[in-house]
Amino acid sequence: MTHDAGEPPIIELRDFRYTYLEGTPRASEAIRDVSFGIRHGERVGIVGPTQSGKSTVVDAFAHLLRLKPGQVFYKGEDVAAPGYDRSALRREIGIVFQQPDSQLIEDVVGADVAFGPTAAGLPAGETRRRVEESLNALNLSYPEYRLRYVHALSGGQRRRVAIAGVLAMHTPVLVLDEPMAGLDPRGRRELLELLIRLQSDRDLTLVVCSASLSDASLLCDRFVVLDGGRTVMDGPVREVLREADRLAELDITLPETVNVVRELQELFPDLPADILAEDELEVELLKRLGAA
Amino acid sequence: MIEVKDLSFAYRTGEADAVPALRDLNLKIEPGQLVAIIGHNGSGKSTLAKLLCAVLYPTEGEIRIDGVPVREENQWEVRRRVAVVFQDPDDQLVMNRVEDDVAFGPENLGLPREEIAERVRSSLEALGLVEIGGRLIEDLSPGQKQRVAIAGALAMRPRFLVLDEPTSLLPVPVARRLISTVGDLNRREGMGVLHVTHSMSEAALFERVVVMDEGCLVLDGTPAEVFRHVERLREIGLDVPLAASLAHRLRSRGTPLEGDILDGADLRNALAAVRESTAS
Amino acid sequence: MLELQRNVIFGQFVDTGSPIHKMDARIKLIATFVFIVASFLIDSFLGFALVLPLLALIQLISRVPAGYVLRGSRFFLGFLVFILFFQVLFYPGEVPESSYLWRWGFLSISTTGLYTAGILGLRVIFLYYVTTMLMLTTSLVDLTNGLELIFGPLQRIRVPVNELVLVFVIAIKFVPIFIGEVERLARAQTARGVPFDEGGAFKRARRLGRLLVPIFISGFARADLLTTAMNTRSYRGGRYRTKLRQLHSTATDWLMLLLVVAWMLAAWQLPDRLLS
Repeated sequence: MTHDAGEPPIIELRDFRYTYLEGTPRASEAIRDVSFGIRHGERVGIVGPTQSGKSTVVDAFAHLLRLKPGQVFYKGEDVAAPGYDRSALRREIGIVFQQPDSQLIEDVVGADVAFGPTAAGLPAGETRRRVEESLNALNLSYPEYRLRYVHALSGGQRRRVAIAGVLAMHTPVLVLDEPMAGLDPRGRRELLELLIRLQSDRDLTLVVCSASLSDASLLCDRFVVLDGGRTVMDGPVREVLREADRLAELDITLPETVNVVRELQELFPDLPADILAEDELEVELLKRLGAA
Repeated sequence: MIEVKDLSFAYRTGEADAVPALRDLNLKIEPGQLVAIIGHNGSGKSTLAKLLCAVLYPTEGEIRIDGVPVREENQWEVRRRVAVVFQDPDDQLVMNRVEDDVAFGPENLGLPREEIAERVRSSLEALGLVEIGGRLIEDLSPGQKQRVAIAGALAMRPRFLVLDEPTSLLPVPVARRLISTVGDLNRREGMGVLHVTHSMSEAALFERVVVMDEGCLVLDGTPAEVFRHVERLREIGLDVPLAASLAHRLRSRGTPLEGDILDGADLRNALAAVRESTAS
Repeated sequence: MLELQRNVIFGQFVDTGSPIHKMDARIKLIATFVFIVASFLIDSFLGFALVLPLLALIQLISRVPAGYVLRGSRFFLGFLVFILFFQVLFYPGEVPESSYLWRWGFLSISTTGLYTAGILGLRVIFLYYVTTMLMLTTSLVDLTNGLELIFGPLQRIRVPVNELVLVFVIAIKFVPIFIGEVERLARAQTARGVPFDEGGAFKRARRLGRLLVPIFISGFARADLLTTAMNTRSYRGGRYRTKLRQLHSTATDWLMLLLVVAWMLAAWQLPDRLLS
């Protein structure tokens, strides 16, 4: 997908700063200085160590904080300006939070996924269609899961219900906060495949927040790296990965390929640092072994 | 020594929906061993961890910790020998200041004050927490909180330390440092460690790897021995460290890589040897 | 609403290292007890006015910002006003005919009713303030040890003091955790279109009500995990426990207590003497 570079960003943070419980003895500064824009259709990974400010940035997108004016913009408009329609903003930005339980509202799967469309005033038939479509998109078959009790599902299933609830809103922007945290390799792989398919089926602007570049690199084409509440790097995924030495200083999970390549570069100094897939690395190695 | 004999365990026994979580498990762990227990969610690995520290009790068969059978009447005897750290430190830290929480366990043992103070001091030191001993736990990072939880377990001076997925919510470098600290403790104090995880690259750092699937023990050996079964591990939904998997691929394409390959450095050395032999 | 921790600070500990933080927890507990008794004895506006300077002094010495405490009491005060409103309307006591300001069926507003509600309100605020201040300035360990020592003698008549104290202390520990949890849920549900940051107080309160079930579910799960964790750390009731930290009372501590007692006696007795 190509986009005109001159097109204004859909979401933009300008000199964003944020302190939780500001003015109290328990104040904690989460964001010191973050600026970046996200264009329509981009797939951006906001990555950084724990407590680097990723989740605060996500909350800022949908104005879930006590924002000051002039810092967060959606489609060019200041979301903290007086009179700005926050409910409309939240119908445009869908967020899947780290703990799926926090965003499940109804007890029954079907009702929960229907919550957003119903609240937005969609007719019953359209709501039903969206619930079916969203659940199926997450491999939760509609007839089987529609009436299941949310709290009786496994953690991975609840996470998928939470994603379905957001998908059913047909938001142009989808934000996922640590979507893979706590999943085992199998669950991780399954969710990853689902997300990649969703991304290609729908014209989504995707934001993935994670301390793991490993997962995010498979979903995104651009990384914004945060550390200590500041933007420290911002660029295409492969470009950021080429700065492996700088990344290695942060407490983040690097793709395994990057770590192995860093070791092997002692032997093959010309091995590209931005290899993302095992197949790719295998080919590069065989090439070099053949030459030797 | 931990001896597990014909161990079976089911949740909700006697009810129609009883779920067997462990089946006919046999396992022996020597004092001072550094063991990783690995499996996907629902493989029974966490159930085993909970049985070892007397949170659960065997349905059939038995577990002995230094000869003491894990049974309800022996629970306090067992807990003196086995300390445990869970996944989320927020659910197990009791007091609000670091030192106070580390002291909680030894206080429960009814030790004299000087001894408690000594244990708190040395545990904080071992986990690199001396400087933040007086801080409030709510102000710490997740990695630090997990260290406080381990310090609290260490202060019990157990024979075995069971770590029930304490790294699954931490970024890899933070988890690595934690594991390496635990490794130091194991070497220095001779305390056995059983680390439950689903990360294969973490398991590679241990002396011995026990792989579980569907409540059974499926593989058991050194990391090198276990990682040779690349296909088998993938079948049960586990990842093989990239270096091991690459070595497996390169070998099947005819590259004669020598020795056990567990991480990037091993692979580099093996590749260097291949290059030298073809050059000469 | 999205930063609930601003508006509810009950159970929070804020470590400023002030002289009040360093006071012997037993003395603080006894002083709190004296305050509580005083709050029931004092029954005039003048009496409460006399208490105020002492509270201001405590606030100042504690170095906990007054604004933080006031803002953190907003929810509580709002709720109190709501309750007192009904207390005035349905005032059941004997009211001389002259004191009625307004009357409709069994609803009424009378000066007597207003006066009683005013005193009751002050009493509750006083109680709330001293207990909040105790928790703001006392760490959980000190609170545990202090309570156990004070109530220790009850063990002779087979009261499980240690267990009760621990239950109490953990309940206090959970309050800020609950508040944080409510905040997290409110934020996530706002994102899904339940606007916790809009509408009047009543609407917000109703939305908050919807969170009760998930909060209780997660609360029970947490309590269960914590109990397990405590057991694995060899907690088997307080009987076998020894303590790392010891409480030491200094002469200053006792002087402070004396000051509190004298001041409360004055606030109780002086108004009557002055007015009679």
